[in-house]
Amino acid sequence: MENGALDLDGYFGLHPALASLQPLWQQKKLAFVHASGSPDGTRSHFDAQDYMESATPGRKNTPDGWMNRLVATLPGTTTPSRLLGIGPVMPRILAGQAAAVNLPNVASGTRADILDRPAIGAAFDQLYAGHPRFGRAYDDGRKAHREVMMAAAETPQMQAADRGAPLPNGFPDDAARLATLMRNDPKIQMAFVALGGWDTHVGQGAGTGQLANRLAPLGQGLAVLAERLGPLFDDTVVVVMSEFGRTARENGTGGTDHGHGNVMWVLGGKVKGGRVYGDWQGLEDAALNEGRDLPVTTDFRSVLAQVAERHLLLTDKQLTQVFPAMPQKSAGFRLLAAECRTDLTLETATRPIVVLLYCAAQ
Amino acid sequence: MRRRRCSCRRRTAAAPSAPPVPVDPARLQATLAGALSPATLDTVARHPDNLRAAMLLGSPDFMQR
Repeated sequence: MENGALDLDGYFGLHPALASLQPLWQQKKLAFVHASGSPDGTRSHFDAQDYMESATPGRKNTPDGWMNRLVATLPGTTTPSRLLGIGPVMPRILAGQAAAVNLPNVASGTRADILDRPAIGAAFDQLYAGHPRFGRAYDDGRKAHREVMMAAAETPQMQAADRGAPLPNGFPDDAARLATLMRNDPKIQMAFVALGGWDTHVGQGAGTGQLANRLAPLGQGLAVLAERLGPLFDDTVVVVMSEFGRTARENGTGGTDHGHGNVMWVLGGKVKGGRVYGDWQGLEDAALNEGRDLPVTTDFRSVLAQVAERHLLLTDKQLTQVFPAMPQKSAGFRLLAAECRTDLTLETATRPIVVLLYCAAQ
Repeated sequence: MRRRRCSCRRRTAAAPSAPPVPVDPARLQATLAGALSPATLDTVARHPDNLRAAMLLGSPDFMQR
């Protein structure tokens, strides 16, 4: 059927705008966790996004984000570029004690700026040297900028691998830049990208239209990220999540309203992909949450915790620090393949995690 | 011929009426007196004139709310 769903497993289907992800599914490097999300019942975008980023649903006063807490618990030297964001502002998920760096969505974040002129840089270095309030932030920012500039440089081999193909603007372009940074700078371990504009209350469309126009670059960007990470993709886990699901039925304006359960996407070389995980209860009226949307049968934190535990070898104590209020219940399925390497420890398992949050607004 | 006239007109219209005047760092410093810390004033004084206005405006004193 033209513009119809692409079959995944005989039951679930992939939106046709995500056709670029089919090869990863077929290679069993892409999995989905259906009916997943936050256990908090809010229908406020701001609160829901806040909870996804703090990983403390229902608690508004959490001062930091879970990715920052995760980095803070890891051994090894903390450098600003270890925790990298791409977006207009430093996101809440990266806020906290550990240093982090945020780059704008466009390429300018990886280019020289006015402080890279020696005389001006030296003058401002002196202005901020040892300043009690801003000295460390200034140093971190300068250091991160230098690291990112070096990492952004593409070698001729990389340019050849990319085949010089121009990318559409937006997320595919950011994904390509992120892949370059990660390949060139092994210190970049956690990366976060927020993609706004998914609040499709009006004219959502179906196989084509508004939602399809957002899904296509997301799928293309993920495929670009996987391709351009090269061998590093085998050691990387990419998690895609959102603060909300949508209502099961169409509303009166050709869109859908805020829902509850959603679907998380997990990609990576060690992901046991080609499967849809989670407790799926169907779309019958009786199965829906409040008769309108998917119930959350998998707490999003149990997926994240499993990634942190199996990918980074976090201990139970560390997991409690990163996800402090998480119920004891585990996800009930294994998303990542059993570890074959026996030499890995918490100290050596410094493998990357990329998180994408697609949401109503950034 | 007509096209050339048109492009000339456009250039004239887009041209600034007067060249920008560089900020005088001494006047700027006098204006901001009281808002600048001794450390900032000392560091700025050790740098050439062409950097001073930018340093004053980009100093830590202006990063505070």
